[in-house]
Amino acid sequence: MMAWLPFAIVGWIAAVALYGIVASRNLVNMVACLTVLQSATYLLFASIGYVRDAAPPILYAQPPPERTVDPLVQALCLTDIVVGAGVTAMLLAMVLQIHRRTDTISTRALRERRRR
Amino acid sequence: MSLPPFAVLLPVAIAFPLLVAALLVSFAALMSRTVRDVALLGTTLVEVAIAFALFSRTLGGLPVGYWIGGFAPVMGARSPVAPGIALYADPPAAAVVAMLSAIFLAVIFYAWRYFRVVEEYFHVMLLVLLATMTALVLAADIFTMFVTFELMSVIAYALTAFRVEDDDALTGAFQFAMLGSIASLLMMMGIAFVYATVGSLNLAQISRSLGDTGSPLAAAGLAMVVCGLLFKLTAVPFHFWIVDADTAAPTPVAALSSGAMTAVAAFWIARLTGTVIGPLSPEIGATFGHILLATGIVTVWLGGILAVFQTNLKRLLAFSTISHMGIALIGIGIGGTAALAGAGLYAVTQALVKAALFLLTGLVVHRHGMMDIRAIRRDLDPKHWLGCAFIVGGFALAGAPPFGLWAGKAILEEALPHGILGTALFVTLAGGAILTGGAVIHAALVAFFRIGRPPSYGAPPLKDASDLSEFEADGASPAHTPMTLVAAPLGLLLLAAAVPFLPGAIGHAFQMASVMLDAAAYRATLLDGQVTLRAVPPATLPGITVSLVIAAAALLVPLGWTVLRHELPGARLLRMLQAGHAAMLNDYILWLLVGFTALIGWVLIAV
Repeated sequence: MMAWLPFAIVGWIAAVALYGIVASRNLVNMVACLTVLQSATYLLFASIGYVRDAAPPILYAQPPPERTVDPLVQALCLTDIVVGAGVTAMLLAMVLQIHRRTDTISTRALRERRRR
Repeated sequence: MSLPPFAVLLPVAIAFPLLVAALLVSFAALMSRTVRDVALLGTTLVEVAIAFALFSRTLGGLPVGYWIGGFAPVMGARSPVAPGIALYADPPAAAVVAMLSAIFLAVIFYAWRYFRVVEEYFHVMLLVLLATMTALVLAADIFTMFVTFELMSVIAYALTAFRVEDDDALTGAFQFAMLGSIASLLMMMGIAFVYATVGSLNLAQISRSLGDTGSPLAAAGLAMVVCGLLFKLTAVPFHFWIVDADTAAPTPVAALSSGAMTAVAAFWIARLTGTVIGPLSPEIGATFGHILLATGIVTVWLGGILAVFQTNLKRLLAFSTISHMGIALIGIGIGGTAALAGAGLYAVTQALVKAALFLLTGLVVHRHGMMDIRAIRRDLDPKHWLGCAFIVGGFALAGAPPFGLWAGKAILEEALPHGILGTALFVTLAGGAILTGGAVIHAALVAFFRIGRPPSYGAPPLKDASDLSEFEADGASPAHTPMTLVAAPLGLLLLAAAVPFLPGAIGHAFQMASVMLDAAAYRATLLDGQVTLRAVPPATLPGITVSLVIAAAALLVPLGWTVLRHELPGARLLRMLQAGHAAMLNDYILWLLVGFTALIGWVLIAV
């Protein structure tokens, strides 16, 4: 029964993050909720790779472990974290520039400026 | 597998632009603008050479594969297991790489004299974009596909916001980035589901392990991956990003994102359909086909109808991209070699023509300083030759011979199913061609020849003409247009016109389509090293009568605007649609999530 708990948590975090993104009218808030969504994907990868009663995937240890958790998924997770960090940094840099040029970081105000 | 010399071209094609980009960034302070331009142009020429070497090699039917680090497949318990990361160029992949390098060459040639002052970041980012797009097409591994897809997107976001002084560009880029990041994250979750089912990331391995299991988790995962690709393809309801991003991005960037990126996304949807989704189970394959068909039909009509009502040239072209990508989706959704051949030919030549049209728009900005056709119309000295070029481009979009879109659409029309669905699809294809081509022709007639009425119904009020695109084209004075600015779009249009007439082009299109759909051959070549040579079917050029009639019907659009002076019956709906495309970012995100939920739900219900 406990096996599905991590996946349920992934679903919950993703749902909360998506709600946060859709409902936020402040651009910084939106980027922060995107970060939460990224966390959901990290947790998903970690949960998929988990093997019960298995060792960390340190294969050069003496003696080598018989069962390890999946190291490939951990590599995917790391790649995901790096890409996420880069994207978040760029998004926040854009928000800074938007604020510098338009003195607002509200999505509603951005729409009004475009309509004018 | 092929001989080592050719296989090495694959990683070189990806690594070389990255190396040059790294050198440019490191020694930027020592380099003048000329050195940077020469480096950029030189690298692109090398890439073109590599692309065409690969293309000629695979044209004979010999695919080129490369396992990075030499981690070739090893014999597992029962069958080969692929622990490594592969790059794979079969005929369709090589064709798309060739198209990419041609578009990049034209755009870089154009950008050389387009910007008077541009920082080195532009050159660096373009090189990285070229490298990541090439890597995306050559990837044979679903996570490599994701990483290169994400890298390509991030560079595209940054390039769209290149002119940070322009807050329209910043807004458009932020929306693009936000929507793209959400779509990518959901796509990554889909990849995680597929991995959870199969335990491998290599596309051939997934195809072999998933084949005939009909797993619902894998189907849901693949649905999420396809949705992420549909976002980049600008399918409805994931299309909102391109409207604002392409309007505000610098012209060379808009040409690349509208032309090349969408074609690569279409290529990957076709690849996934052929190698993984098709073999999964017949019901799932059919469901995905229906999903792509339905999405394609809606996309064609929405893009086409809204294109007619745009007054901003780039916004008009963005909507026409949406519509044309819908046609490509219809071709992939119908399934079968002929439809896929038509769709592939259409997507590739659409990329060429659309890039050419965007570069022409840059010329308009360069000479007139504005993008709104109402403002150009008021200019005292309209350039008629520009108008003629736009009209030719408009007819090309409408599927007039001799441009490649005619050949692609005609092949697709011949592959339509019979009955009511076939008729509806034919009307959709014709409607998309007429509306998008007609919109471009009408815009050119209004702006450059002062014939006809500019579009109304929700078009934004004409701002002071001077504040449009003042951040672009700070290039040469309008009195003198450098030849490169004219040569690049004309070169792309000529290439698009020449493609159907190249010797054996249509036959090769059919061969490429059958290669895409043959999952067994893909697995055999990548995992077992067995190459099946595939014959090129003799094929003739498709008929021109229907296409000529439809292309001529594109003139109905400017005619309609001139003749119909009363308020149209659907005016309120049109204004709502227009307002919907100038809405808050939150609305666009909501549509994206609705699209994801609907498509994944459809797949899960059908499984």
